[in-house]
Amino acid sequence: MRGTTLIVLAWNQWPLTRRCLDSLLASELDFAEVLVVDNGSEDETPDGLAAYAGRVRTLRLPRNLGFVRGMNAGLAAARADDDVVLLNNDLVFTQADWLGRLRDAAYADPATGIVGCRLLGPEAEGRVYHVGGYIEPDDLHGQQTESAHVEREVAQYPRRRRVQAIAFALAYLRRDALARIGGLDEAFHSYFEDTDCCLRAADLGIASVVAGAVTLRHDQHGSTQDDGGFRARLFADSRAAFAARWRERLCADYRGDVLWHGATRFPSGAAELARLFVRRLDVRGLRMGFAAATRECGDAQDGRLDLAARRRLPAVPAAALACGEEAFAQARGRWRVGLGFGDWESASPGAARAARSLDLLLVPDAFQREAFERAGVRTPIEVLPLGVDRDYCHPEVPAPRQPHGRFVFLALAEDLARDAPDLLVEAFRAAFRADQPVELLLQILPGRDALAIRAALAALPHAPDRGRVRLIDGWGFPWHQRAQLLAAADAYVGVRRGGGWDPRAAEALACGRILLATEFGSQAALAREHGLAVAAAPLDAGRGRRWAEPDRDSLVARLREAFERREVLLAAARAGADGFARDHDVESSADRLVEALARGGTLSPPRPAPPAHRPAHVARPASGQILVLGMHRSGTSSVAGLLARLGVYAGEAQDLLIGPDNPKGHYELARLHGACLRRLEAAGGDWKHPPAHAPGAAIDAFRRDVAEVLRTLEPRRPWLIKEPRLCLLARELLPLLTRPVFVHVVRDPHAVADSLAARNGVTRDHALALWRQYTQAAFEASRGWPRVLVDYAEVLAEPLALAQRLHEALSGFGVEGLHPPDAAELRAWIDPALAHASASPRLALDAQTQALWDAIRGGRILDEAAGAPPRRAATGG
Amino acid sequence: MSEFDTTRLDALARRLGLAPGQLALAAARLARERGAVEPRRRRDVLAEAARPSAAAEGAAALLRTPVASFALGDVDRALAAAWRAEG
Repeated sequence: MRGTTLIVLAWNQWPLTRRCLDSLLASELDFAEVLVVDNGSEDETPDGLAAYAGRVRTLRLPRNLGFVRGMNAGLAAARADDDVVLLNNDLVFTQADWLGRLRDAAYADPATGIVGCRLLGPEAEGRVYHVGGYIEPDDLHGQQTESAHVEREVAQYPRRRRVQAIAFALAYLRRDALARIGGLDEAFHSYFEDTDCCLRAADLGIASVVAGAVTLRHDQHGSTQDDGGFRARLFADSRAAFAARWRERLCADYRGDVLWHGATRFPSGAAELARLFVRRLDVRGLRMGFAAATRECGDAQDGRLDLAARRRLPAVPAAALACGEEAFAQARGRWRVGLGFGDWESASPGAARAARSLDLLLVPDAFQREAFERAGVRTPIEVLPLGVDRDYCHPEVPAPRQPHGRFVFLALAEDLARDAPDLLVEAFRAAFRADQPVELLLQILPGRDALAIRAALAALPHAPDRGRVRLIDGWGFPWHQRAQLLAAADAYVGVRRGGGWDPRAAEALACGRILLATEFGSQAALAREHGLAVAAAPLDAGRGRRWAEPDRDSLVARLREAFERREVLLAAARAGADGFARDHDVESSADRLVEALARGGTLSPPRPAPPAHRPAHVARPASGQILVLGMHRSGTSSVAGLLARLGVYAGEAQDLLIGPDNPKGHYELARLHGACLRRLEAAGGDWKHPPAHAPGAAIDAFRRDVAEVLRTLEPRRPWLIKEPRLCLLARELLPLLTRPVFVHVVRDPHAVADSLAARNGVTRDHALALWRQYTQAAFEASRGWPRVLVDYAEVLAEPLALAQRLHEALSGFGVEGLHPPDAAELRAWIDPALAHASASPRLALDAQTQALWDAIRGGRILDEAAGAPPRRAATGG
Repeated sequence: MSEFDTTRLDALARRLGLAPGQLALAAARLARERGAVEPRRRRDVLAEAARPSAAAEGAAALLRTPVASFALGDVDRALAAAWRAEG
């Protein structure tokens, strides 16, 4: 059975090592061994480790071999077949189930081989130092956060996601990936070895990911802290080695130069777009430059945007993206794309004139497209929804809540005329009394209109008995904290005269907050479909511009409605948040933006990606662990019995279940069956109502239960386990299995539906839906591993031929201990009369189910999990 | 601020014998005052701008730095301040 060897590398600094070990040993370490590599310590480390004998294994090296060689020594000493986790001795394990959640991330996809986690620094207030990083070939400074900044902890990056590289302060390495990568490259003494390893892995199709569900503390460079100049020399040497190997290659990975003309300060919308997209385009192979459209005191707040601003690009780069009308005329590229949005029903004459110089104009929604068309723009215009950054905007963003439990409306005011904060305050006071548990939190954004907004609000009549209004004035916040204000509130009010793109509106929905917005402009559709729309009447803003005046009575009514129905509306907003964010993901927007920039034919095609890594690619024989997967009523018992007659051990007779519908036995271990039942129940479901998600504790308990079962089987390889519920749960067992083989048993979904209807009273539609869910989950779990497909019809029609085929296939995978089938034994086992129910007249299958069944019958299902949604390389979760 | 404005600011500062940053500080000080500014008051503020205090010089120095992020606050502190102001 597979376990995990946790390798802690230590050199002196015994107090740090002791602190690390104490917190590590106090966490949940199922199936894991702790191996401390003492890298030639000269302090009390050897004596200190002796006190941990029995709880940790120690490998003492004669002298300090450096980080890389020290870790490689640990890898060599790790238990064979174990996954390994490389650990620095200045980590503190503040999360008890960190290892279980790393395992979840490691086995979520067969291509994953390296897993890191979120790391906070030593500060009490929580600062994020690592969420997975990158290195740019320009300056070769590895960054450990996407923004290259140390950010305050705001629960950013909570999902599993693919990254270019992780820091090896903590690195989970899957055994099958390690077999292909080899150890750390000893060309590096310390530093850069982690990025090098991740890049080498990527060339083999092995993905590095960060498990957003794991957050630990890291004190940074504990062991070398006192060595000043020595560390600097190590860094310089490693950097030179890295540059020699990777700089040219990383540069060659770019498809071409793209210059982003825009802003980092004002207009704020353009600045946000630069921060959202410049780094994403760089990750997608576009070498980004940045030029401010107007003179500004730059404030990128993002490392790649800073780098883009410093880069030298050719005079006319392959493509240009001009963000905002002021940038259109400056777009300097062989293919010029604009990103435009305005506040009025018709774009300004200046914007329209400037747009004519573009090859393609992208706008965030239909309102903006119509605005440019009304202004006579004939440049091709396409809608590119801008999306929400799910890494920073989600319902779990932490924020202080109103200390007296009042319902909080949040509004932001940047421009007095456009944002109408005075109208909102007046309406809010009309809607509520001061003694009601509700308030309006209004942030006056720093900018040229701040004084005017302040003055306009001060000019409103004093109303101490009316709704309470609080101002946040004179404050500016780092961009990474933008969702915290939303999280501190219950509802976001984006009721304005202007119809321009308001990024906070969609972000509020992604954070599970109620949205109130004007039924005009870019937010109109969001307000109608996902929030509370406030009516508005056309308003002439002068100089031929029209926007809309929010209707005061409608606003008052919506404010009251949001408050009076707050529980229902908040519950609905929370329930819809994840789905909304998935459907409006900024990563999809970035993909489309790349397509738009490539359409001019001035960018090189992307470098072909290597084939995705699969555990089956590792040239080691299967271990003799066999999982039989198949939906209920699909003949899995027959196949399990057939395997048993090839010499595969299924357990002792007294441990196996026997039921009235299968008098010869199910070949299901009772303890395994019980473990599956408990696992589904712990997640709030059962076999007929499979739960969508499971708490980590349920998964860990399931693994512990099944590990007990596997321990009894291990001495008797080859062995099999079989339980239809394993279709849904097999993936969770992958960290325990050493080179398993999967035997998939499939049966015509109509026949399965008939049988379930007859035996369990399940409706046909429900049964077909279950068939699809179980079957998809089963093939998804085994994707990338050695597997065999068995059709139940084959079991009944040609059991001997099937048995011979299985014997040949399993032996081909390297399973030992099998013997050829005995015909007489098989005839005694397979009785065609045991066929469960006959198929009723065929009802049409839905498209997904039909596609899955077609892929199974055509054998294509073993190529990839047919019917599963395509996986994007840039995100997980 | 547009390029046109910075050119005007620079020209005006030169006429007044001030650095642009000093002029910007003086303008910020005058902008806070209600109503029209009397010529004497304007002369006094401009004269002060030419001989800034340490604090004023510090403020002007901030305007000249390229990094604005140091001036950014923290949402937690801002909310705590807002909710402390009960009334």
